[in-house]
Amino acid sequence: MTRAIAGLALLGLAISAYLTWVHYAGIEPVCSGISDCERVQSSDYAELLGVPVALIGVVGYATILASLRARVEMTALLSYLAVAFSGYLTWAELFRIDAICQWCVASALATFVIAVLATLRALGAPLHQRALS
Amino acid sequence: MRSVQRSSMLIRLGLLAGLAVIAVLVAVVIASPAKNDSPPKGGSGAATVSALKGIPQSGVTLGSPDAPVTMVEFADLQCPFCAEYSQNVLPTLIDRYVRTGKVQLQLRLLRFIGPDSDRLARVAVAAAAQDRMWQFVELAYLRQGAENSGYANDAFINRLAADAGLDKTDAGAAAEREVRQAEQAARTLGVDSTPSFLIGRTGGPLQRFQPSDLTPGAFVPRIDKELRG
Repeated sequence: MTRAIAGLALLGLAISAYLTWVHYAGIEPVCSGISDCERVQSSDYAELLGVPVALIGVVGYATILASLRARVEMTALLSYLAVAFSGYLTWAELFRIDAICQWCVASALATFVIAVLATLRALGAPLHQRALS
Repeated sequence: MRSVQRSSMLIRLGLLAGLAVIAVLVAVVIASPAKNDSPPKGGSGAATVSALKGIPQSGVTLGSPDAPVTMVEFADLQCPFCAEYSQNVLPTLIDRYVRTGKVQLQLRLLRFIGPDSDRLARVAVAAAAQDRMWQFVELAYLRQGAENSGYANDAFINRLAADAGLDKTDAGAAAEREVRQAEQAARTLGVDSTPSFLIGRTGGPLQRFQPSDLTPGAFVPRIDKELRG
């Protein structure tokens, strides 16, 4: 379970790092046919108080990775924050920007699965720990 | 015992999830650009005006006069596609090319849609005399009303002029002359729709440029090509 979360967080980290690089380099992200990444990346919603949301993603995923060594609830809380934030961004893509970007969708899915796994992990953890001790 | 523990953890996680949602909602409401979007076309436009801060402006030109590439846009302030260009493409072009001194943008205003276009165009040209045309134009797009609804009345224009930082709005004979010159140029070049674009090396001949759509991606490769010379 922990490994699966770590794997997904690394995937999210890679996506956010790529988008952060694209943001600062001022180039267009690689984009599939149905999405319009440039439009999403250049919209008002690509930054929150001047910080690129991709960079917030990098920090978020890194924190989730680090939290795997802390209490199980910590990972769960961080993953819920990530889902809520991804949810907001997905809402902005669909209803405000009228464009989606496959990187953002992939990241949103990753956070969702991480949250599900982190919940199961937290629910299972005390039992495992007791069994082991 | 296990199930008690499990359900207490479930409650704890539920609380954490609620906390997370509230935290993100609060953060987003505080920081969200959505505040500027609603009502979508009636925002104060402070961000629009401040986005132009520090960029040289001279008459209808935005950007350094020494910029190696010039792009001219023919526009009508009532034209929705022009507003779309200004909102979706222009910010990227400004950040990437204008602020960096690579491209200068020139705006030639037409008024073929109707009387509202005419009033707006003449005041915009008067704003050019005060080197604040781009502020005026961007705000006009932001607050664009329904075509030929008479929305560009005196109160609307005065408010726009004040928000764009104009001293006075003297849309007299000089402004009329300027707009006629733009119309003449459009006729000569065969420009029959807005927005229409011309691009080329500064000082050299400009060529018609028809972007495939109004996204930054449709402009960037062409501008880069001109910059490579």
